[in-house]
Amino acid sequence: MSINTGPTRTIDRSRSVPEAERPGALGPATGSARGSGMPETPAPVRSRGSLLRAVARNKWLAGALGLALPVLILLLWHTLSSNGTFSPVQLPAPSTVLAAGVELAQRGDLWFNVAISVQRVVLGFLIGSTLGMVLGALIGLSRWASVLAGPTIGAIRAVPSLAWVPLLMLWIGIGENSKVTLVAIGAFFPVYTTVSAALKHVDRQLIEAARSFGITGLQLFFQVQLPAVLPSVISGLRLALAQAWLFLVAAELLGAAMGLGFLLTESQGNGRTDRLLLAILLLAILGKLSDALVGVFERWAARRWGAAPAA
Amino acid sequence: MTAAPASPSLNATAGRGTRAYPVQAATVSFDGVGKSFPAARGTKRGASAPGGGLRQVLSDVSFDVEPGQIVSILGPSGCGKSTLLRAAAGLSTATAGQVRIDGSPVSGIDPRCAVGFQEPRPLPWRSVTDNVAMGLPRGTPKADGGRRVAELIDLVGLTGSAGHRPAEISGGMAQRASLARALARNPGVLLLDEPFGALDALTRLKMQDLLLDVHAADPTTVLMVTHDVEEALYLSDRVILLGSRDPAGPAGIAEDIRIRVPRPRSREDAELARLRSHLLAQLGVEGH
Repeated sequence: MSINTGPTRTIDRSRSVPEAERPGALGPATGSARGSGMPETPAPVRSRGSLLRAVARNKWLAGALGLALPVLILLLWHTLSSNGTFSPVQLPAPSTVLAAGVELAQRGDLWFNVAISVQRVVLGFLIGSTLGMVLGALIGLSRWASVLAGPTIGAIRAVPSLAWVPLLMLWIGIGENSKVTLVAIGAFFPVYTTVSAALKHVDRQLIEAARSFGITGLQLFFQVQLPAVLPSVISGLRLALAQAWLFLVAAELLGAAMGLGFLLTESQGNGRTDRLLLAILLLAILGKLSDALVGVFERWAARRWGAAPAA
Repeated sequence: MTAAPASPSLNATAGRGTRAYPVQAATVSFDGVGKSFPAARGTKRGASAPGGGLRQVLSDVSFDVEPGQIVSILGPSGCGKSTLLRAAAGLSTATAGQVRIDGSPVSGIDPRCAVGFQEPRPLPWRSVTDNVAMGLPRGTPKADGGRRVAELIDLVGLTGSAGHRPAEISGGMAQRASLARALARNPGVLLLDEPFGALDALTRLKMQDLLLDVHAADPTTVLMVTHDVEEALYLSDRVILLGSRDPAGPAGIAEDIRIRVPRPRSREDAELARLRSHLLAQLGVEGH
């Protein structure tokens, strides 16, 4: 008659397993070394593990190692563009791209294009993810809302989002609003999907325990359900941010007079491969920066609500 | 992990003389309580059962628990022990009869009850202190609540781990925190659903002594479900044995045994041993 004790026990057991013994955490390497029966293998395996652990501990070392690959790519790029493998039109040298960047920056075009793109992403992301959270919470918490609206939202989600572009242009026009709307559509669904699914799967035993202490309604949401789904909310926000950049470029490629996507089409049109590469580099940097901001929020939330169980 | 820290702290608590949070031990009355569940589709039992696919688990369970007593509900697994407890907690409703606490019927979650589950069920993102505080009655002033929580954490011997998260403490410690959380509600009735069932044997014995210590300090009514005959006999003033003659039929009260062995009890007590053989025989385990 006791209620579904299985899952809780499994979770408890997995918690008590030390990090290194978990499958996946350096496990396969040690396993295969032992399996092959070679007496000398344990020592190298241990040294490799301790090096990795040292890297994980030292964030400067990890950062430096993370930069190794970009530096290598830059060197390769420089070599390929200067030794004649590719023509300057196909692949301009890194220095040329940098010069193009400096030139655009001096004219003021660079900051203008970056600023307008960032503004579109930020507005669209905020609107889309907020709506995604509100609707996701509604569908995840209310069975009535789930039954009534779930299938419809699912069907809308099934429409490839770029298919909205012609309609948005017809309805809203080619200005800022249609671009922000498209970015918002892109940001909405990852948040909506993760939040609604996570709320449906919050541990029922926790909810029952909280209810037995008279915690219901909004209190239950803020004290139990929200902290429980926080990891999912954050991964949803991460996905939404990536989607927002994707949809921004799509919107700007399809019709814009400014922005990084416009810089891409314009550069393609007048053969400025250096500016094209510059725009791509800027998108990479901006995407990574905005993702890092979500990471800052994630750490703040983890301090505020503690490390919620990994979803 | 030892029960020892609980004893000195217990004296400290008792030594304060007047208690700021007097416990109003309540009477629990089960009045013809029955419970049916919709039978799982496609099962033979459901198809042949009278009453349109309902499977009756409990039928006509009536008994009164006197204030301040410890009463255990014992029975084979699946007989409806937890169902009975959940009906008292207001976590589910009986399909027949009613449960009354101090004369007024239970409907919905009852503020006079606190539940301790088999799994400690702490909120993983909160410290032990904050988890215990979750049990405080709504509207408790912050300072009073903080004092009460610290007192309870001391009572269950967790002062050293008060700031830890549930993942950082052992199962036995989490179960102590769960007990403290239930006590924070200052309940008239403490409902325990196989509270020590998931613990190892040694920890279980220590937790049983802790429960007796806690009960001595806060003599509230305790109604607990267990499948452990020795646990029921060691702890209880009274044991209600649930069962049915017909294995497919609903369970009712098979026996109602008052245990008049004074506390502190010896686990080797001759009277308890006699009752143990008797109850085990009733549960279908012969030759002990």
